[in-house]
Amino acid sequence: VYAERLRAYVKELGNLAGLSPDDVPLLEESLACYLALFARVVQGEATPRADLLTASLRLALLTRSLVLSDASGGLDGVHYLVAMGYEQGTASLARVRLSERPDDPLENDDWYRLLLATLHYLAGGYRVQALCTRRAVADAAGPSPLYASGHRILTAAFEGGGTNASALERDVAALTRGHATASESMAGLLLAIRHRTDVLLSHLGEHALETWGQRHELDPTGTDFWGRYLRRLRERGFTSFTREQGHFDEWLGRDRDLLVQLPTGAGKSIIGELLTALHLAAGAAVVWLLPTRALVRQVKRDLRSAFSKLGVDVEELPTTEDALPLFAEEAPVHRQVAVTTPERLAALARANPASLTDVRLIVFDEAHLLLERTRGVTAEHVLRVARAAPGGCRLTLMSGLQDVREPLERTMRALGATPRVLVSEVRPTRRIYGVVTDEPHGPEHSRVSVLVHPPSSNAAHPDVLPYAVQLRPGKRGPSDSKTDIAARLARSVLDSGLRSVFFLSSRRSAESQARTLAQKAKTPAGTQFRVPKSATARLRLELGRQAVVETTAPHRVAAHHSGLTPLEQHLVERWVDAGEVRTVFATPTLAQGINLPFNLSVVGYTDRFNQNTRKNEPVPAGEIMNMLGRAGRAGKVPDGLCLLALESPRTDRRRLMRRSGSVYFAEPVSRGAVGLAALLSSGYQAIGAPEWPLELSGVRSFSDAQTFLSLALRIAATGVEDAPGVGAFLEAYPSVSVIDARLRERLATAMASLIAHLRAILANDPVALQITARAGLPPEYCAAIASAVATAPVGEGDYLEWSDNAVSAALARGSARAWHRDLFAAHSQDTVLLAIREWRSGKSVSALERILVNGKVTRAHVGEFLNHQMSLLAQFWAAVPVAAEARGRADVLEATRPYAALVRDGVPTVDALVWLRALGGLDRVLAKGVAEASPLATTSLPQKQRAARKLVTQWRSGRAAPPSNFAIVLEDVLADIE
Amino acid sequence: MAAGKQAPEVRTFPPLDAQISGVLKKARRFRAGFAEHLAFWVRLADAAVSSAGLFAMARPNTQPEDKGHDGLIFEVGQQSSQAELQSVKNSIAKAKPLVSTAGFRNKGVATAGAQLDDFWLVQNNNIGFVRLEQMLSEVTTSLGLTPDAIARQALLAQCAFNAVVFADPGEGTHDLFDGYQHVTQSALGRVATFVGANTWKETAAAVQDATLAILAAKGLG
Repeated sequence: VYAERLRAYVKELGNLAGLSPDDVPLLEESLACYLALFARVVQGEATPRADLLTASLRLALLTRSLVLSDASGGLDGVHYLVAMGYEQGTASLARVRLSERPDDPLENDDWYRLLLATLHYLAGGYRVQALCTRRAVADAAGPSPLYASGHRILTAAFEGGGTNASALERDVAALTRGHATASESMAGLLLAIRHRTDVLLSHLGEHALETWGQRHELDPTGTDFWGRYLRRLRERGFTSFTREQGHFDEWLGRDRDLLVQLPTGAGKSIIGELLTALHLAAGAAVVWLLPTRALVRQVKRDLRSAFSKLGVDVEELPTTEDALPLFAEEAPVHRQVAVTTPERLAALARANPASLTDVRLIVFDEAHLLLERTRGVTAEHVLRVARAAPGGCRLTLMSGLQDVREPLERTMRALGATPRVLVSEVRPTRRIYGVVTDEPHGPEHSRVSVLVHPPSSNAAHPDVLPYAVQLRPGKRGPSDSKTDIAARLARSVLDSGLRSVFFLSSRRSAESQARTLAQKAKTPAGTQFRVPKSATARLRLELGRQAVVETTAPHRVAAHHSGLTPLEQHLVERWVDAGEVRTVFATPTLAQGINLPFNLSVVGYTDRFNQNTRKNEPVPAGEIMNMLGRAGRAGKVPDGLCLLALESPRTDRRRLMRRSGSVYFAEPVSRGAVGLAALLSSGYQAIGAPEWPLELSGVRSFSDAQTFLSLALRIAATGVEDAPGVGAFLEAYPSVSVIDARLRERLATAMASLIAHLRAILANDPVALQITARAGLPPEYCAAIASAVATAPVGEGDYLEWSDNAVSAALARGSARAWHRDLFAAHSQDTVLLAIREWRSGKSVSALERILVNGKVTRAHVGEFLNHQMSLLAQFWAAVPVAAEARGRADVLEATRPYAALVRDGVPTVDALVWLRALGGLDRVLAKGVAEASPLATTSLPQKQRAARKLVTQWRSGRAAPPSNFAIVLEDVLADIE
Repeated sequence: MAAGKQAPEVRTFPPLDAQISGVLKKARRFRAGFAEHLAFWVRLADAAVSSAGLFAMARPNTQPEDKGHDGLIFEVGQQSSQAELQSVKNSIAKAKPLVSTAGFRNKGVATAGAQLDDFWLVQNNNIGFVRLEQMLSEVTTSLGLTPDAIARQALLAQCAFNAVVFADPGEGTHDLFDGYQHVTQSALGRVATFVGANTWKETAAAVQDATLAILAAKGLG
């Protein structure tokens, strides 16, 4: 269960001490200390009992040993183990206060131990881990001014030992007066940190900038830029690099491509940042690709912190991802960083082929997106385009997954790159895996037990006797299902200060458990979370009704699932991040890429109902691990306790551990195909059939079908139609070029058949073919839109009503087809189109619920519809301007171009769309209102964007007053905007 | 000064440190300090007899009221080592309340101040780390251990508590150390030392008188 890396550290320590790793008891003792603290906060009892005296004695001696050792070190792993020991044995868990806060910080044991932990982490190069302990040090500090000395010592440590040695000495002396050993320990560790930093930063050219600049072919301006960047690194506390990161000569250069495989939070970003800085120094533009808008926003914030003070613009590409995107004129230029998604970059490159001219580096974070069937195709396409841009573009692909190195490396090679590979398995957080169950306690009682795999547990021996924390006994309930066990644990941890997420199999279950726990919680009024009035007003405006979270959040409980609006999801996440909400019942949606500071994650189901097979099926181990992985967060929560809820076998704990071992020790499923190859392999057997373009059935999703249609006609547009020609076209895609030749032949044959069938269905009409290719929609629909545009009235100005009717009529043409049945399975086409009109008019969510909720369809279903179906349906409007362009109808093109974005985002006008983006993208109803209250006088889209952003800045700074009727809501919204 | 005559040699003694003087002159503080120092020598003498390898003991507190543990002995072996944390109490009346509170004896609920309660706080709440660190530094320095050897001892060490009580012999009852099991489950980790002096108050006073007399004879006071 413990990472192999920790075992390597234990071996390192064993070598230092001249002992076998088996004689190094640190991991076991540290785990016992951690569980003892956990037991205390949940009022339980831990076995085996922790021996803090022994643990403390070992750590104090090891600190002494390291302090007396040569500062040039080579003992990174030992520093890590010592820091971990201090951290796990103190009250950092859930920031629980176990002691008073004496005036003398060194008498505040938690504070002092956490300070030592921070220094050890930094001395070993573990900056992210040090961030956790530094936070905990701040939390444990008392009011005495001596604590400020400690704070300054840590600031200096993060700056690599500080720049003012005498001031640092004074602080150490002030803090440690009368404690000679403490003084020696701090001074010794600071020396080790300084030594480490000096070595690493000199490798980055800090002390020989000119030579370094020449070696990297930078002109004097570029060298100066690099020097200023290095100073910013120190200021920001980035002076500590792990062993893997520290080999700069191997990966830091403008003449190389790089594949980075590091766990999330383990320092991928700083690698991308250093490469970005180097390319910026050379005057180039850099693009960062991220899979989601949430990550785009987060990375934009981080990169701004790195580069804004150096005069570099870091902007999110404003482009929309439509066939005819909005804002396509804003391309990244000289010494600029653009942050975006693959879809938006693809749209930009399509609309503005010169947009990538200045780009010399693409940093693709979470690059395993290439392995997704639909989005992977776009991602692969973007990389191809960038690689082929004049001037050449280097690639840095980064992923936190362990099983994707081979396909990603293969893809890079097929793109003509020979990547250096940077691999590490050092996780920034530790995960402690186990089981939560319900054990009998007498005839009528039972007690919830947390059973944890000990460090010696492994795939061969998963059933080692576990470490245990038993909660107080209670009356046995009517059921001991996994959900009930999870719910009982949730009740126990609610008042503990721990932040916990409980994954349940359904939205209904997540919501009902959140309500029940909130109702049963006896939260005293003084400790309830007072939901800000501005947040309540914001929710009410968007939803048009009370939100569930309004009733549960005061008790520090919330539900999080895909049926909530993005605004509700966002507020829950924000409140969890701030520690206001501590217990979340979630569906797996929360596991998709969101990092929140949970101490505890519990999965309350191991199988689920499959609608297709009508059977309960086991949830794949990888999916469970992904959910459990939400516990622990780099820089915030060092240890995640990950528990699988299992019914007790009543007799033998080892059996439970064996069962959970099948999840925890499962071999990762190797991932094979990437991008286009993955898509083609999944659907080629269906697409060759003559009726497939009409029905679009037999592939995994409507999006997959769209990609097949679009690709087939893009191939046809190059004049290639026969199977060998199609095969040659496909082979140009790196992912396809490396798959088995016979499979490639079959794919080409299927695609060639699809092209022939499409031509037949569309009667070779070039306009209809072009629309189908660009919009990727059912050919019958595209043909109908092509006809409608041909006969559209001239000079209408506003074509919205006309477009709605055209889309409706064209959709109706496919009413007998499988794709239409799937799309409108829950509601008729007319009902859906009515709901879309309401949505697009900027009405609250409750207006749509009045239309869509019925006996079978709940509010949660509506939320899911809005979150997922709406962007798909919006594409039917996107076909209209494409048809107008193909038909040469400039008037229709101009008017209808934004309609798809309006449908997707749920606002009535372009101004409202601009306001929606300027206000953070979550508050549609507000955006509509603000657009009416603060009209944007300018005409072009970029000008409107700038005007809206300027007003937002003025509102935030108080230099201008926001519209008075939205003042309360804007208070919350503006506080949210970076 | 007359010419041609050498000045007589004058020997001066520094005045006693005010804090030390305070300990020497107050009977109650003297008893406590005396107990700590006596415990130091008792434990060293015991180690000299029983220990097979090297050993060292950290200096006792200068002031009897100093925070933290009163002593630490470290016995070094090639394959194992023993660290014993010592707490010293003395009593001229009832010793039992100094050893543990009733709440601790009965329910394991610790209250700072009593000996076993304090041990529990060490064992469960990390109390007194900086003093532990200081004492370990002293013993490793005394033993002349290299950094590698310190790391080795860190991993080999077994820990124990030693509750030392000085009191009249009648206080050494069978239940004096009741509640020790709450501190640690390991029987080897629970050491108790009772030193009965007949009578402890008079014994300490006699030593105090003798000490002050010696110092006075040396011109210190």
